[in-house]
Amino acid sequence: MSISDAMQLEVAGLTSGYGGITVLDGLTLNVAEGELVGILGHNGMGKTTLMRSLIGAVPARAGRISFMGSDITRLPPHRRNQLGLGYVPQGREIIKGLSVKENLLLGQAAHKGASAYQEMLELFPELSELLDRPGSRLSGGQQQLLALARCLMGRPRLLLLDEPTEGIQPSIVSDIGQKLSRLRSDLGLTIIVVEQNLDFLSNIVDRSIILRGGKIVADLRGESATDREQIESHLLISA
Amino acid sequence: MYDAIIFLYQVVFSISLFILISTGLAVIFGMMKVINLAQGEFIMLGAYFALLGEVMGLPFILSALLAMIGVGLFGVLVERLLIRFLYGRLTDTLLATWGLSLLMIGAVTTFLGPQVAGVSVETGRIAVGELYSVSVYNLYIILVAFAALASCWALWRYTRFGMIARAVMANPGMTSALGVDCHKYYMLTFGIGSALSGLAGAMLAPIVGTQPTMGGLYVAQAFVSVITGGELPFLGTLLAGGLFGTTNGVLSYAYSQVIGEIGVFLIAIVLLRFLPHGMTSQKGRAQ
Repeated sequence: MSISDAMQLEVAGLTSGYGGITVLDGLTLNVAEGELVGILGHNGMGKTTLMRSLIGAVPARAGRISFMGSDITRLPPHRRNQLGLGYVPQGREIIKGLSVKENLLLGQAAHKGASAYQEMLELFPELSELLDRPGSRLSGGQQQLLALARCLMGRPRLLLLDEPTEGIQPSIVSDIGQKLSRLRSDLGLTIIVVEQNLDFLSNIVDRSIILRGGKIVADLRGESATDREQIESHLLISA
Repeated sequence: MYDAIIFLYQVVFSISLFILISTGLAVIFGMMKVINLAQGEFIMLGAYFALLGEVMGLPFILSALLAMIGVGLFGVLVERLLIRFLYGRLTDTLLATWGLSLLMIGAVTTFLGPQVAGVSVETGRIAVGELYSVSVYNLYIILVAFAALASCWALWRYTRFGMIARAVMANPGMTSALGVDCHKYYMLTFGIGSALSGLAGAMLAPIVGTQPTMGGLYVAQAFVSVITGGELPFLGTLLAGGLFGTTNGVLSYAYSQVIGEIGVFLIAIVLLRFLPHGMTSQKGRAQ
């Protein structure tokens, strides 16, 4: 999958936060179609707030977010999702009262067009044996796969993943990495991943962005994006 | 033999009354966690819609349908104009819905008068032996109460609407991020709960008549049923309705209706002491 020159996501001067606290402070970021971008940074630097601001769960106080040429800054989360932004949150947020199958179908409930259900069962064969199991009775790894599949049911153009490897056993971490690479090559998905796991990121990303104090302090591309020493040195500076 | 049949009938009828008046609240409070203190007045409004249907010359079944639709639409209006600004604000919701209940009582009293008005339904009676007979209408109430609860449960359990509504109530933030317009589901769910209360009011009108203050008789019973029912609102309403209806039926049969109602609230207090999260809760028991 080649990376397009066209910018799919354009964030300009984004400021957002919670209550009286400003977390993102005039952040500017452009992501091209087909890119796989890793977002790194220490705790409290604004990684999750960035993802929540992009999907609309945290309102922007200033700045502009544009997706595929449309200004989405003031749109609620459901409208952003319908336009093609998919979001897999930290902690997965599986709906515990729904079965695995219902959680999957929920991902497509607001979307028209052909069902992606069979495709998801082929892409995530681990889930096909768990369809009737309540969401509350899944392991962390199973929950992560379900959250990813649920998000993909809506056929997003841009996938926002917040700490997908958190609390997951290594074999599933590797599986998630392979699936993301496959999704990008097969479907042309643009992917932004917030992650603390450098080993995981270095195998899949085109670009590594390091956040500090709600701003981008390093934007590493090419070989630098996966160069562990460079990334760690930037992280140390931002600590 | 006939004594036993009449006793059983009274108990089942008592259970069905609890279920009838509680099913709407099972949706609004049990599912949505909205403490609607105007729930009794929604029942009252349903009774007046039944009266309106009678004045218009409609058959009772159409009057009951009119009550469901009328109170359902009224509920949608209330959700849009009042409740939607108060989700997650417990005290504010309490005050606002209490104010709404006073407003509804005042408006009905002002425009329709404080007097009791009757709604008549001619359904006849069925003889039970030589000494007893039961009202066919009361048998309809039993049927409607269980059918309403079962339909609601099936709607939430087996339909696409129900699946999305359960997700919205459980985690609106995540469900919204999956593309679902949660406001629409809040509005529709509140409307369905209101419509069920309207149906209850219409079904009760031929037994108790219509009066602006009649809602006060039912709101406490409905809350007791839904709260003691616990986190599974429909199963909880069935279990609580069964327990309280049986208690009320037995004590009313043996002593008086007042003793029956006292018995219900005593059992509710004891039950909530040992099962503070309700009969269907998975959470821990009281220490």
